[in-house]
Amino acid sequence: MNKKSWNAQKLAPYLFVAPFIISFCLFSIYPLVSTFLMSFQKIYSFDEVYWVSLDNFRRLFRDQEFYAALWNVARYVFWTLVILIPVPMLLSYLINSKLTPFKDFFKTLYFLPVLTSGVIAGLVFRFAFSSEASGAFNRGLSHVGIGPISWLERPHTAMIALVVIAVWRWLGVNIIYFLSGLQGISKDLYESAEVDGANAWKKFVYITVPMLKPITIYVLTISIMGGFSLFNEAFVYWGVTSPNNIGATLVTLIYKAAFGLGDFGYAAALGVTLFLMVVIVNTVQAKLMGLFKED
Amino acid sequence: MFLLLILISLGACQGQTLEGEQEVATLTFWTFVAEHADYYEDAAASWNEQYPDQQLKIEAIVMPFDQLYQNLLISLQSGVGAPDLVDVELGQAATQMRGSNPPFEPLNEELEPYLDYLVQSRLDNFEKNGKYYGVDYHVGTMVMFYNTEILEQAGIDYLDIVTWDDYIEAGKIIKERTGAWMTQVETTVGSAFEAMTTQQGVDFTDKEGRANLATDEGIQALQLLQDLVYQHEIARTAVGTNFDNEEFFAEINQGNLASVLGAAWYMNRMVSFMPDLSGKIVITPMPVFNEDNNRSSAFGGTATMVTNQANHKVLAKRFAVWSKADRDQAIKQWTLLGFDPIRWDVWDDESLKSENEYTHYFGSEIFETLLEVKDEIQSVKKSVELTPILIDHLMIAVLPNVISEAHLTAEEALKEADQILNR
Repeated sequence: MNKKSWNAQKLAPYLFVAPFIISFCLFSIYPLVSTFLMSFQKIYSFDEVYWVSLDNFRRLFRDQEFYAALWNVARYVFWTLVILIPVPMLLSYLINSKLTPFKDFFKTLYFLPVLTSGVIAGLVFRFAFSSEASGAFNRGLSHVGIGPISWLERPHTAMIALVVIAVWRWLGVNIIYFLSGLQGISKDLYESAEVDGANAWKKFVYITVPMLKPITIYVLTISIMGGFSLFNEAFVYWGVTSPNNIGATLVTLIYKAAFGLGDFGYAAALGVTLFLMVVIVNTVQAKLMGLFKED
Repeated sequence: MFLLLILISLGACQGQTLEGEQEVATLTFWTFVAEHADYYEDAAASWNEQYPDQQLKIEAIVMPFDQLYQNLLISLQSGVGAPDLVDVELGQAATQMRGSNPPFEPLNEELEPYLDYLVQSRLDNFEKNGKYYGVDYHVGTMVMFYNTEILEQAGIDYLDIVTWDDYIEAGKIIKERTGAWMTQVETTVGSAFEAMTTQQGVDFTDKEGRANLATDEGIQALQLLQDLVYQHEIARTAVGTNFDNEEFFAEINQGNLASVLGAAWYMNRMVSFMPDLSGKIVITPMPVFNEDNNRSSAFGGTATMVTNQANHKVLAKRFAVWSKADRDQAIKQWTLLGFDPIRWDVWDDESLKSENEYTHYFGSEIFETLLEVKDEIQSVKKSVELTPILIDHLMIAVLPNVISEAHLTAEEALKEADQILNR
């Protein structure tokens, strides 16, 4: 061994990154590869595994529940994007504006829901959305003469229930993201716009929105990923069995296949499909928003 | 240093034995019903009296249903962390016993001496490839529970209700004269549908294990349930969506409904949660569609199994079987739990007629009613591989569209179900 090329100095960086590399390989790479392999198998137990090649995927493409879940997730992603990008953007602009008093109070208020436990919040909202007339939302609606609604039993109202809790919970986070983005916008831009006669709205549309593009792309990406991986709220509302699959999401299906039916191979196939879908969607979205172009 | 090592290793050896020479085997037991845990602690005490040289101690853990079965599945699959004994509910049996080599200990040898006395269908529920894996707590005889106070108020004699048509007529009178519902229909459990189908001698699957829900009998059963709610308007969808929760217990307790179609084990719930109705409930065989039908069925069931990760396997297996199949233990299934015992030879035992909280609540003729229908019990075969998916489909697509709302007729829903399940 040549002492010159093999000393502590050269070794140190590798030692420093080793813990991360090892845990990454163990907890991310290995499960990823393993799941990919499992999706081609029928698994009864560790000792009883059969190679079934594309059977799980064939079953998946014929599975009514899969399409129901996909439709639910697609609608959920749509609504959360439509509400949770423009509204926080606008709100953060307002909070940031010179005219708004008690800025910190508002920031705190909007952020508080983020700090709650997802499960507890879900349970509370589930009771609030009860079909009985005594449920919180039904009682509120009765004041304006709208009869008790079976929130968690019909598709449209079920989506409302999911979106409401999503908005309640994530508005604050997105506001914070956009607020931090706003800090990066130079005041000079606004001043020169004012000189040109722009009003508040024009300033918002022609300066704020374009300058927030990097943050918007980021929020868009994580919102899509978050939407596709919806599990918590759907699970708390319905478990894995919802009437006519109104509350089925891709992840609740995975959960049901794996832990309800013990069919790990099928669950893995669902997982692989979800993974591929998210990768494709995010890549398309990134390309469209010019992420790969030079700035 | 060396001395220290010796002392420490000696200390480690001590952990095995307790006071006296007797080693007490600790058996962990997972269940989702607190009363079952009590039953097993009592069983352990009785065992220790009878077999002082094979002392054991039960460590029971009661968990919510979903959590129990997810934990069990994972621990059995991963080979680590499973309990010694566990209650496996019938609906979970197909999933937990997956594969050609279920992760449980076969109990055939231990069951040998008791086989002549046990109700065979209950053993068959948890059988795979000729091996029996668990013994049930009860038979699960389906009966009709009537609130005699409401019936008297409406001038109805429950003995006059023999057919389902009689039941509907009585229901209309009761609704009119007392305002109470005749019954409520569950939307997240299919017990009524199952019982009313099997009483006609039909199952949910065929001999090849394929779905066969849309039989004339099955359609008739499900359509009747829909008609009770939407045509005759003498029933509503169950408050709390099924019968086994606090909201529904309150409904019965408050006298909002005149009858409930339930398994004999529901007596246990009534005694525990519906005290106001003590002395006001009578049980009878099920109404029938026609003379050929059985007047009962069996629904549900939970077997206590020994996992393949159990310590003290031999002891655990012997105890698991003895705790249910021993004659005195079987009697306790009634006296302690209010369940119809799994040994048919104790059903006319004197001790079953003696006073206990159940006879106090329901009168002392309960067992005569159960004995009356003991040969008329058939249940849905749940060990078919399709079963979990079939039941899932009932919950997702059939019950919501036929009972929660009347989107589809029974025939449409069941035909669609067969089509989807047999694809």
